[in-house]
Amino acid sequence: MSTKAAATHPGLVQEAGYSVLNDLELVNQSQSGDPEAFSELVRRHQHVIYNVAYRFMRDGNLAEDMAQEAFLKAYRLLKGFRGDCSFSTWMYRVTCSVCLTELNRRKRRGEVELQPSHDALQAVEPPQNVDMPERIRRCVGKLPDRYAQVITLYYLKGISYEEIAQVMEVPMGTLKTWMFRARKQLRRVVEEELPHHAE
Amino acid sequence: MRNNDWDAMIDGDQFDALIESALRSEPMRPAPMHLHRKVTDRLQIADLREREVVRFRYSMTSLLLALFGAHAAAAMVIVFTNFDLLLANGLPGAGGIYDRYAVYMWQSWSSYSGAYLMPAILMLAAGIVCAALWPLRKYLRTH
Repeated sequence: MSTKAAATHPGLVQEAGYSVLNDLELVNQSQSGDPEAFSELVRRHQHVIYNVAYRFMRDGNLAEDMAQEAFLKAYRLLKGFRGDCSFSTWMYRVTCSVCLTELNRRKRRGEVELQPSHDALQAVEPPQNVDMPERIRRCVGKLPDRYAQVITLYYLKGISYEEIAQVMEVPMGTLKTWMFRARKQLRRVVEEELPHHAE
Repeated sequence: MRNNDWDAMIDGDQFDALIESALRSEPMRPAPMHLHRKVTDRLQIADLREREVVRFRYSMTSLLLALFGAHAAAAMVIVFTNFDLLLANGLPGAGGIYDRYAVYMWQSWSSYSGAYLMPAILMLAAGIVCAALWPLRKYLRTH
């Protein structure tokens, strides 16, 4: 259903359901003040956004909180969405910003969880008992913000280099340079981590 | 693989392959079932908060206007009717003063300045009441 048809026949939207509209049409509906349209956007993108948040936060509960914050921030900023990129690209940008802000805030304050969740219980186990791939993944959080963002988005399934460049608002050449440096720095971080825990 | 097996791989080019494998093999997790409901609940609260902010702004502005209006009306009454003298000499005369103004108005509207003051004060009071009730009417209409 086109946006024009949706605008002139709002009853058709309700009858057909929001599932037939594409993301841009749902964004236009949301900008017009339709909360159901944004609810449909949340339904469509919640899995990917949750995974982006999880790869930054490395904890299920924190990832859920950050995903909520990302959607709320997107709702507040929706009027400024110009449609120059896809909604999913824009949501990745918002989610990365929310997660990195929270991670930096926690680092500044030195915050730790009072009662570890089930996921975090794995983190407080002795390091030698934690799965090696998970230990490597956690090292991504120790990189500078833009390198962590590049690595996280690159290894998230379904995101191309072009889309990552749009998310980070940098040229492709710059992105590839960042990717190269990020991998190099990640290797250094992992090398520092592994000998310590291999003792 | 056990950690010892992983440790054996940590040399040379296999290290990069190890990192690549760890990052690529991370599965996509399903979002928690209640994430959508929590987001929509919080959106409703955010909408409600915005409406309350606007409603509060209207109410406070109206009350402020009513306050200034009441002060202005009181000042005009004092200046044009010597109300302070009435208060100083006792209230019982006030009813008589009202009758006096009413008679003057009936007798000669244009020659008595107080004649204009009485309806002006009544209109001002009505305006203040409307200004105070307007946000309430707007709120009742939208809800």
